[in-house]
Amino acid sequence: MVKPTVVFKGTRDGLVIVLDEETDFSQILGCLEERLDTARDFLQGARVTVELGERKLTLVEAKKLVGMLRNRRGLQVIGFQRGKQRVRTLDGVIEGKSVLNGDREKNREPVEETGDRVDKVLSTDSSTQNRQNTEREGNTLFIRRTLRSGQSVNYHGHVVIIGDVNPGAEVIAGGDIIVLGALRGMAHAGGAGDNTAIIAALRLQPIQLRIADVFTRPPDDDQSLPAVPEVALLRDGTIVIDHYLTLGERLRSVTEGLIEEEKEEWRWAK
Amino acid sequence: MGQVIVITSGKGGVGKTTTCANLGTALALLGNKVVLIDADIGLRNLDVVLGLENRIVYDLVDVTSGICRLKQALIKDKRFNDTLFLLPAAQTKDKTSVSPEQMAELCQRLKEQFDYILIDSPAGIEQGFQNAIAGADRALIVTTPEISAVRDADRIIGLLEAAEKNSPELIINRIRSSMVKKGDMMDIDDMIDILAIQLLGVVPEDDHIVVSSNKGEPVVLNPESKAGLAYRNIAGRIMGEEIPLLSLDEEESLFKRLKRFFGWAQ
Repeated sequence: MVKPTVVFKGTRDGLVIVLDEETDFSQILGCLEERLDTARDFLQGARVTVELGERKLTLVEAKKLVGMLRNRRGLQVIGFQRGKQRVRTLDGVIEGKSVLNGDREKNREPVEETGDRVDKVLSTDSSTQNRQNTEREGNTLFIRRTLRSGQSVNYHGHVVIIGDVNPGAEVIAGGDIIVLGALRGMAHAGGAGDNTAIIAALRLQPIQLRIADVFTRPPDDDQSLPAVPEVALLRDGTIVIDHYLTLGERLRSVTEGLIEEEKEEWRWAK
Repeated sequence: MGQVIVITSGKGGVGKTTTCANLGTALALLGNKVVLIDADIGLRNLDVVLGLENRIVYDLVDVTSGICRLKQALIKDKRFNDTLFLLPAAQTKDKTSVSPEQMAELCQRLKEQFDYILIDSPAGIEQGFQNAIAGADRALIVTTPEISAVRDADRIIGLLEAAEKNSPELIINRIRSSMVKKGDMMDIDDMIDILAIQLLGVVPEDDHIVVSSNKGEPVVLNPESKAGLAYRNIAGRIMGEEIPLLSLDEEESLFKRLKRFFGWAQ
C-alpha cells in the first residue's frame, strides 16, 4: 500500500495533520489542498497542529502552509511538532523556527514580524500583555441567537453572542467572549492559552468559567448573583469578577501602573 | 387541511402522554376531528391512558410497513361521535422500525382527513424523537418546574430549531402554587426567562390525574378537576382563542370571600 502523503487525525487538543517525511513540499501542498476541498465545511475554523516527523521546513514553506490552511478553510495552525518538540504559533505567526528545520542551536534569533498587530495582541508574551490590554483586534464571530443546552461554539477568534448562553451550552474562543444576554452555561476564553482574554456578560451566571488554563465556578452558597453586567478576567492566576462599568478605567490604571489592583468585588473559588 | 402537532419534552415522566390524551380529548370535545399518534414504539402508553388498550389490532408499524391499511389501524373512541381516533404504537418492535420519511408521509395523509393530528413523542433525542417531529407543523414542549426538565426542554428547543421546526410553545405541567409561593419551586417566570418561548398554558398538580389515567378516562372529562380545566383552556388556545391563564391560587373559601367582600381581610 502506498503511504498517504497527508493524514488528518483528531485529538483532544484539536486536529493534527501529519505530513509524510519524504514527499516533496509542493506535492504535499497540492495534496493538502485537495483534501481540504473534499472535507468541506466540517473542518471550518478548526485548530491544527502540524506533525513534521523528520521533515525539515523552511520558514517560507511554513508560512505558505499556515497561510494556505487559513485561507482555504479558516484553519488556525496552533503549533508545529517534531517528536516531542513543539513550537506554538499564535494566529499563524511562527514564533521560533527551531523545530521547523530541526536545528535548535543556530536559529535562535526571533522571526521577523509579519506586521499583523493582531498576532501580537494575542501573544501570551507578558511584555506585550499590559500594553495591549485595552486594544484587541482579530477575527470575531457574531452569533445572533440563544445557545441552548447541548449546543456549542468553538472559534479561534473572539465570540460575541447576541442572545443568551443557556445551561448545558458551551462557548470556547481563542480570544474574548462577550454575551449580550445571560451567560448561564460554560464559557472558555483564551482557549489557546491567551491569559489576557476576558469574558463579559450582561448577566454573568455561568456553570463554570475558564480563561486560558484556569477554571473556576461560582460559589455554592451565593444563590443571588447580581443582575448587573460583569466581566471575568485573570489576575495573578485567579479568575476574578468585576463590574463591567468600571472595567475600562481599571484596565487603563493597571496598564499605567497607577494603582495596585486589589479591590475586586469578590473572588471565585479557584 | 389539518394541523400536525408534536408533544415532546426530552425528559421522561413530565406528562407528555397525559397532555396528549387530554388535549386530544378536549379538542374533540370542542368539535374537532382529532387523531392521536403514539410514536413511543416499544413503550406505548397512550392507549392505556385513553382506555383503548383492549381494542388494538393493528398498529403504527403495521401501517408504515404496509401490513394493513391506515383505516384499519385507527381506533375510534366510542365516547365521542366519530371525532377522536388513536393510532397506537407497536409494543413488540423498536424505534428503528419506522423512518422519519414514513412518519412525514403518514402525517401528510392524516392531514387530509383530520383537523388535528397530535403526536405523542417518546422521551429522549434519538430516532424516536426524530420520527415524532418529522411531520409536525407545530411543537408543544411539556416541562415541569424542575431544573433537569427545563434543561432538557431547552435542548429539545435547540434540536427543533435545527430541524427548522420554529416557534415551539411551552406547557408547564405539575406546578404547585403553594411551593412556588414559598420559593421551593421554580416559578413560571424563571422558566420563561431561560426557555424564551411562547407560554401556551400552565397545568397545576392534581390528584385527579392519577385516578383518571388508571381508569382510562382523560381528566378533561371531569368537571371537578383543575388540571382538566387547564387542559380545556390550552385546547382552546391551540384553536386560536384568547383565554387568560388559570389563576393558580387555591380555591378561596366562601367565608374568606365574604370577609373580603366586607373589607375585613386584605
